[in-house]
Amino acid sequence: MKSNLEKNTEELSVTGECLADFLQLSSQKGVPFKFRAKGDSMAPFIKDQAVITIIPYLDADPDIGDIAAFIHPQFNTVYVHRIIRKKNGHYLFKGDNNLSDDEFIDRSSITGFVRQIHVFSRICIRHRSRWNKIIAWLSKTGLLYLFLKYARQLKKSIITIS
Amino acid sequence: MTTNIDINKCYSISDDVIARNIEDEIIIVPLTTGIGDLDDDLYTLNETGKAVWDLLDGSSTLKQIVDKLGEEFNATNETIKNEVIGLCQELLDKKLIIEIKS
Repeated sequence: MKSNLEKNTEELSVTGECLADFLQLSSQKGVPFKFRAKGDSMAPFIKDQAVITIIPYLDADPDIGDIAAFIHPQFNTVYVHRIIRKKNGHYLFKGDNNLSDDEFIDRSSITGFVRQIHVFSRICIRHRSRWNKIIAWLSKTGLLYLFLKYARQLKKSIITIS
Repeated sequence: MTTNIDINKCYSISDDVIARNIEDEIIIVPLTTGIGDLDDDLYTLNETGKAVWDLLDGSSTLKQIVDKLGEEFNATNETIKNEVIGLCQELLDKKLIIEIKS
């Protein structure tokens, strides 16, 4: 019989459900929670494996433009996407790098927001900055997706030429 | 100043901790620094440690926990007692558990 308490020194990969549990628990305690993002749905603002911190909303209300974490009611996994619309206590999310919207999410499933994002490792866009609302509008209209798509193609062409 | 574990006292899991079972282990994320950090600051307990952790409900003394584990594990009472005291001292030092004042 040997009990071991070990400090984890390697990167720990947890399931989406486990992350959702931890995020919800820390949000209930009003404590920010830090973890690594997975996927490119929010690129270039949040890239795969970027470390993000979710600040609990507590009693504050989410708003259009916020990059917020929600727990999908069906799959019980965490998504960190941008709010592009709100209606009757429900919020429509969309990944900045996605063509289609997510679905309307109830306020109770939204745990917290990302305090700031960095663009080109230099430009910092803070929570509730007007730029977030502009990006939300561009995302809602589909213009952001087109812009990012052509920007990536242009970047590829420049790299090929040079 | 380090507080020493007392086998006749009750201990419970701190409110500044979130923990979850994953397979046969427990993942513990302390919130004592004011932020939960899944990327850096977490602990794991093996199956034996989990058995102790699950009994730290604040109402059983460590002596009662030792007796209960004696029914579950094939080890001498002295061995179990040393394991429980050793683990709980570590947990207390890291502020993952708290002493219940009677």
